[in-house]
Amino acid sequence: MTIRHFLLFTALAVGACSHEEPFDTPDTGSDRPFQPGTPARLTYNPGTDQHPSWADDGGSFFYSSQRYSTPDGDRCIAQLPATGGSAFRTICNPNPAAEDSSDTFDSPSLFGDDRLLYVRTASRPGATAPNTAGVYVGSLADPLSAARVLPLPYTVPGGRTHGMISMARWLGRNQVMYLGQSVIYARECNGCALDTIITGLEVVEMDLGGAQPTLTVVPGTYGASSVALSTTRDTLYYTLINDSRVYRIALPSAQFSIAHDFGAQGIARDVTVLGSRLVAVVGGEVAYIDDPLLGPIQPDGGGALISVDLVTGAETILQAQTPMVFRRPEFAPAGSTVRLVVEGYEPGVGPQTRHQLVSRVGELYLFEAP
Amino acid sequence: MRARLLAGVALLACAAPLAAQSTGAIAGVVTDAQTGRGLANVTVTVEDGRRGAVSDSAGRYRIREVRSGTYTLRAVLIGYTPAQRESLVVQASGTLVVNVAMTPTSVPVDSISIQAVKDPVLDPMAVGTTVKVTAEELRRLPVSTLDEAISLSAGAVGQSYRGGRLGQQSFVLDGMGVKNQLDASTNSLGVRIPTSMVTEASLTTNAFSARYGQALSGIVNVVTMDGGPTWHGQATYESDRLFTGGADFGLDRLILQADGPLVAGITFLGVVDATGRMDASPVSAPPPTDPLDPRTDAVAMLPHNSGEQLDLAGKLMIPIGRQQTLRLFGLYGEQQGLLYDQLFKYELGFAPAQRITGGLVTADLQHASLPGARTPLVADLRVGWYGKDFHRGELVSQPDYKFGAFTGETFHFKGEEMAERLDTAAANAAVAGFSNPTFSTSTPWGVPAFFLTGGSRGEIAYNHFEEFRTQLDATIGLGHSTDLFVGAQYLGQQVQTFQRIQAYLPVGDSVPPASASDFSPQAGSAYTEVQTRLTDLAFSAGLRYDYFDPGMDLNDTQLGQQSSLNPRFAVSTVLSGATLVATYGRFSMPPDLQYLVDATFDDSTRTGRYRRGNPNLGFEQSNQFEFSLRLRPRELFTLRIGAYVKKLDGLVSTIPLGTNPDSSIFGNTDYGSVKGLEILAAKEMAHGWGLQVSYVLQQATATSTNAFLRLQMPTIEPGTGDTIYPGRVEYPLDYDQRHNFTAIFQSVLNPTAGPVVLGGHPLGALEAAAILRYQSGLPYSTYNATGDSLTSDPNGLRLPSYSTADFLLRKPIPLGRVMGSIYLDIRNVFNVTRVESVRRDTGTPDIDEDALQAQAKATYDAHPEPIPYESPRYRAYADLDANGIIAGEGELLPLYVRAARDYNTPVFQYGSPRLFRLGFEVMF
Repeated sequence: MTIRHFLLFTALAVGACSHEEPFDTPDTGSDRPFQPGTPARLTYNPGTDQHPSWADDGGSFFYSSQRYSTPDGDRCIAQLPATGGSAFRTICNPNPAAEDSSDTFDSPSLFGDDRLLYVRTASRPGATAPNTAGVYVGSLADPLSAARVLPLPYTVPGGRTHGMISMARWLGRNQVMYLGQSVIYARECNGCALDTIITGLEVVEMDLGGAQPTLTVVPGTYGASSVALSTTRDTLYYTLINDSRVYRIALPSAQFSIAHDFGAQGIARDVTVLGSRLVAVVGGEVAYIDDPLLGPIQPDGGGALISVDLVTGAETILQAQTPMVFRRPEFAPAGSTVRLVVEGYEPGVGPQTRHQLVSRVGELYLFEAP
Repeated sequence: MRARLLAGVALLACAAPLAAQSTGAIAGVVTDAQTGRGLANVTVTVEDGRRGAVSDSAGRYRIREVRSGTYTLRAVLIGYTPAQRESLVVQASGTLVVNVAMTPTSVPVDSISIQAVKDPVLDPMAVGTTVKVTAEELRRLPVSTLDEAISLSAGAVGQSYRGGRLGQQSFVLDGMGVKNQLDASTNSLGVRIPTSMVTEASLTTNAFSARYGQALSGIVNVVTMDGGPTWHGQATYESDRLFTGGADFGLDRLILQADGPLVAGITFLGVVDATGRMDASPVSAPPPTDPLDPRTDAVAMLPHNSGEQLDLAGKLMIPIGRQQTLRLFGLYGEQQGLLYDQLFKYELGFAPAQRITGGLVTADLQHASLPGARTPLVADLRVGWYGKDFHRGELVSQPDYKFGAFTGETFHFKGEEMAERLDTAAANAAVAGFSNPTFSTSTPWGVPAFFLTGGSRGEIAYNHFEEFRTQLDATIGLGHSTDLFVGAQYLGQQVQTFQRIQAYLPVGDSVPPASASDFSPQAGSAYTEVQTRLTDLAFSAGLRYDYFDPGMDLNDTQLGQQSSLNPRFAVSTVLSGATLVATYGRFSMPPDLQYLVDATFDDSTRTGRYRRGNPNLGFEQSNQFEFSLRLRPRELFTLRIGAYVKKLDGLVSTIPLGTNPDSSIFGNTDYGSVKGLEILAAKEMAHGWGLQVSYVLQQATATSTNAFLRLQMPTIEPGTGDTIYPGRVEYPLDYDQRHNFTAIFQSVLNPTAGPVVLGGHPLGALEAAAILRYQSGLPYSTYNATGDSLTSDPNGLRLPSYSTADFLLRKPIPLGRVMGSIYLDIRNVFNVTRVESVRRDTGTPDIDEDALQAQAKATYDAHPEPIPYESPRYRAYADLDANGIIAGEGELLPLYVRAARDYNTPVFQYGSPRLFRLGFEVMF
């Protein structure tokens, strides 16, 4: 044996012996609902899960989840696979110093695969209103370093004050459409629980391209109760409080039309659109009140889910057999399977809880169709 | 008769150095081969005439201060045929007796008689209790490092010698003292001497020369080789990668060595020794009982426990004229590795890591008088620099392995620069880069308990020790019967320490501030020693003066230096073919410098105790008496029996500080004794085999005034009911190992041994060695669950005794023009599971079941929240009613119990498993 042979043998022997990592923790996650079905219940959280928003690729969605493990009642953003399963991302305030305050991460909306918008508030536990609140935009990779782009409350051109935003829809990397809302804290009756009544005001377009965001109220949307974009992002759909119709504005021509009228079935809101299909929450536990002090408010305890074929106008009531009521349906972006995630609630009992979501825990459900 | 003659000859060889020298001597008698009379004025030299002596009227000669190694001796006298003998091996602290019978030139020479008598066993001047390991043995035995080789010495328990605490030993490298004076009791030297460059290593546990100090338990003496007259080299690779079944711990070791002549007689020696192992400290802990624990499928190797080390050594030997020699030596060591932390078992990236770097540079200028000098003088001026850096904490980024466990990069730690600046002000805020740890969701158990993620423990630990040493040693020959040794040394030291915990939080509330220190101690010594022979008595007497100055201010007062005077005596004689030696020595050692500064890190996190540093600490001391008998009943057989008593005083312990029993200050408050009987029998390597058997019976007891122990040993006065805290507590020392048995067997087969296969002898020249050990267990104490009260006598219980067997087989293989070999090294051949430590509350490696249940319940009570299906914590197997949510004590508590059992799985309570090394070697 020569030295060359010896060294070659050694190199081969060593190279042939790779090292695997010692013990890996078994993957205990899942990407499917606990009990498949239609709808499939996706969350079992003892706290409320709400405000779902899909990622652009339709592979997952974000939502806001109320924590039950801490006395300060924080709300965090979680990310679930499209068909349910284990949340693989959670955005929370990890600072132990924040355990004495209620921190919420809410209304998430993702553009592309990285640009994340959300609403963040903080208050003393048990407080009625947040001490600080704002709209934040940043990177999904480092969401806690997001910059605040808009304080809450804020005043739009025209003078109205928005206390909250919801249903943020990305038009482009620096353009966002959202529903500006008023926030009122009121009791329905003496002895009733204090409720937070959030009522839509108008649709706002926010331009993030400059040093400061530019806000533009979309004309004709005063009193909007929900907003959605078409799949191609060239058409705006919205509803108005105390109105059974779904309205439509073509972008950028601003051509106005009525997409659908639910008529006697009740007030329409929480619209979502996928191609020629539209789903909205209609009727149910909703009321319109033109309060002399508070102004027009629309307490909403959820309603029926109705799907509409925009071409034919045909309506289908989703899950008509269940007594559950729904809110905030969201279509996943186009794919081979049509998916709709929605908040589901047990119906309210008695006058104290109708029209309110106080003391009712919402879970997320998934409707699927091939 | 022959033994007496040899002994007499050894006496005639006159005085030899005391133990723990790095040099030996060559002495003997030159006679006329015809008449047998002694020949005067014979010039006897080694090293090509640079070192030598001239025989006296009786023909006696003596060459002093000869470095360990192999020499050619040459004797020249006008009118006589020069005589020469090669391959004479000189060992440190020993005298090689070489008698020369010279033939007149007028007479035809039939043979040249040079008789070398190597008899260190009966050498009456080798008074020290010394066990040596030669270079040949380092290569043949199943040992990989010097520490492993030295631990074969009788009475050694790892790096504890004769019951001494870790760090009570000191190192002598080619005559230069080296010691990690900062934290030798808790940390390593930081540099490692590659075994391939070692000529000889020895451990002396008593009667070491007054030249050496800074030690109570022993001196580890290492002599390295010089570059040879012709170029030689060695390349070795060993690994365990080819082994399966859990025997692969990812070991790779590469050794490259070359030595040879440069120009003008200058020789060079260089060594590169690199070792990497994916599990640097494997354990043979039993598998977990829960099948869901991922370690069930991979019991052997611990993750995040890799380690790599690199040792570089270089040496130049520069002859300057005939009388001076300059030796320059450089040693660099880097050792870094990941540390397995059970808390981060499922999020390994946040477990800590550690890096230790060390460097040593020495220069030794030796002057030796010419062979014919009337008063031979050998003087060494040594100058050296030693430095060590230690870092531990969270890495900036996880290492990227390039080959095996080798990363090819230096570890960097979060907060490293701040720590090196000793910037305690900047450390008050939460340190950038650290994040808060939180409960992990990646465990099989899902519950928020025990295991962490998101951030590390937030530790930043750093220390730096640097020492500049100047040492002057002189050996003066006063005739042939007496040697005088004088010398002195000065040490200038620099210490910097920095510690911070919970760095992800600002200082305040429960988070203590960072502690740091920066001071410049000094130390020095002077000694004189004389060795002489009076008729049939050999006598050694030495006196050593030591001092150290902490260089710190305490309350704006300069403390000044501490001093100690240490005599050493030895008397030996030869009676009826046996050598009797009686010795007394007083030894002083400055305390670890870490005890001079506050300890808020290691002690606080482990014990919750704060220990204040004490700059006013003094020497730790011992007085040791020993009587030994050495025999050579047969030519190849030796027997040594020794009995010793070592009185310890001034050992560093803790004293209560204020009224809080958890706070204390270091002080020189403990004392005790070590008594032992050592029996060492050996059959020297000859006729193809050798055997050494040693047995030590020992008792090491301390009398402690340690605050912690005293407050835990109260008694109730029967009459009055008063609580009495004892003034002192007696207990075995931590390294009180009662019985220690070691057997070392070596054999080398004949090159033509065994059957002929395909024209060769596969068993020819096969080398085999085995080490068998039986050791009784070390003592330990048990406490209650909270750690407040002892539940047994201090160190009153014993770990189980254990036995191990190590084995090495080597087969030389000719590879063309060079020689190679292949070897198999197996440690713990029978895979004995050894318990090395136990829990203080149960006295076993495992937690008490009731305590575990209580721990789980308490953790559940802190986090009783349910776990819904969508939570990453959800575990289907725990959802007993399959309703999509794990809720209630019935479903949740079992998860907490399983997590608690997983967390409390003992790992490092067990010793290492069976380890394999397959090695390939080429030598040219």
